[in-house]
Amino acid sequence: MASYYPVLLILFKHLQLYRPTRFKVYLFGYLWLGFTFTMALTPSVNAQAKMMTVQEKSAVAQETAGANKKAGVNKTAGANKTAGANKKPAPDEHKPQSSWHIQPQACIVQSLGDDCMIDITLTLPELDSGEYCYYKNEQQLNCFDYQAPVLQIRLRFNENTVFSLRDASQETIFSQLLEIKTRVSQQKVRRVRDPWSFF
Amino acid sequence: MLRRSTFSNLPINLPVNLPKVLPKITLLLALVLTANGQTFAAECDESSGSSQLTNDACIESGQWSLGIALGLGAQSNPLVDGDTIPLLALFDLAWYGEQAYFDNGELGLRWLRHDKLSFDSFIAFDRERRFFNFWDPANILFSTALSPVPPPKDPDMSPITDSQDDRKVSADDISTRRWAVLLGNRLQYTEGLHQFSFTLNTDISGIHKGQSAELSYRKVWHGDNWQFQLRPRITWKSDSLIDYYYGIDKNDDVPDFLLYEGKSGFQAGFSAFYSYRLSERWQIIVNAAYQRLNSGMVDSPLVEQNHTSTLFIGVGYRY
Repeated sequence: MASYYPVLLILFKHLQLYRPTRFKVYLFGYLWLGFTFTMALTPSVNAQAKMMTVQEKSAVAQETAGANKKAGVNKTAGANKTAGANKKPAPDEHKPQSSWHIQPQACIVQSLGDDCMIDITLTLPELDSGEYCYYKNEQQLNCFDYQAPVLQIRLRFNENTVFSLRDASQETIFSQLLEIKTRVSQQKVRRVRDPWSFF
Repeated sequence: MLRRSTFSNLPINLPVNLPKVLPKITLLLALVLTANGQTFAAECDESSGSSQLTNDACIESGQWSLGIALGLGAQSNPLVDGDTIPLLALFDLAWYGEQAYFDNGELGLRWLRHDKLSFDSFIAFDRERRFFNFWDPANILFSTALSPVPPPKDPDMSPITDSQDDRKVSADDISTRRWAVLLGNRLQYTEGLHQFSFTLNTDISGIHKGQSAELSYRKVWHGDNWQFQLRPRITWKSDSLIDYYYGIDKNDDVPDFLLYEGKSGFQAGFSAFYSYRLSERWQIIVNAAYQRLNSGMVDSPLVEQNHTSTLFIGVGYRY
């Protein structure tokens, strides 16, 4: 939708500035509807990029799961090096979100409702001293001390789930939506009109 | 024939002229809603009440859904000499994409898709036209919105019906009423098996330049193989809309004492739908509706009934 903003903004600006006649309003309306319909019906570059991302995520999910079965411990050890847990930041130092990383962020299942089990790998920034806990929605998972962060967790879920890290005061300092994707497109949407209402 | 289009006959005083600002409201809402990026996909998932319904209420995204029902039914026509509209077949044709959709003659965009709240804009033909010359091929093909008004008839021919009431005019003896194209905005709130819906429509084709608004509530009951839904509704129609279709002016070539100006008003009614699933594709369908017409329409010499009713019973097949 971001690609629509300039058009909509310009359109709205014109409507405000020139106080057009109704004909102009309708003309703009037609153009706007035509443009948005075209954009909605044509697979855009963004949509293709999204599809690529999902495919990449699924590949990563499978790769991660496979790799963990073979050499899970070694991978965890390697990831621990990334964390650099021994460095202690200044108390008020801002932690950029970009230093967080969680992989994968989606899980592919055969059909909606199937259980998904994945091993997720985390990259964390330097943490303040204290105890931290991972949460799956509101369910508490592993807890760890800031000096020995847990960077790999096995998760099982069957619907979109929010994975988060909270500190000792229960403040969420990082969260990520883990999505369920179906192999076969079975997404159903609710209709806006009653069925059999053609007449 | 066409008169000024305003909401001035509403029982409340509006501080703005809605017809003028409605397109702007649409744009503003679209901006706000799309800026929020509120699009949730799982609106027909297992936790939603709608998933317990038959497949009719939910549709697979990106795929056409076509249903054809054959049976017996009719819709009454409130017009003088208006043909009862036979319903020998019902259709159900829908397609929903990521944002755009087509649903039984309505082409729309969904700006907001929460599990419970949705907002969409759409264009559709104004079905008010259906009472006039139903079997006219143009009526079926929705093309009369673009066709010119036919020349006036011979003034010597009396348009007055044989009815005892001299203030009645046959729908066959007036100038053509054309299809209008509506721009609509619909807000829906769904909580399990309950749904509230509010729709605002405005004519963007310049045919009648009128507006309408509808508030409805839908309740669904269902079993393993059956579903029953009841939707009471109240609809408001503007002066311009009523007057274009049911008003009579000089263009209709009738004596002056038959001239009539349609008035806005509220029309209350309900629709009911029952289906019994025989198999994955076959189902029995019963469709019924009733709508009480407002006095500003019923008082027209063109109208002889104060209500319309619809009943259809048939067997449907979904492809």
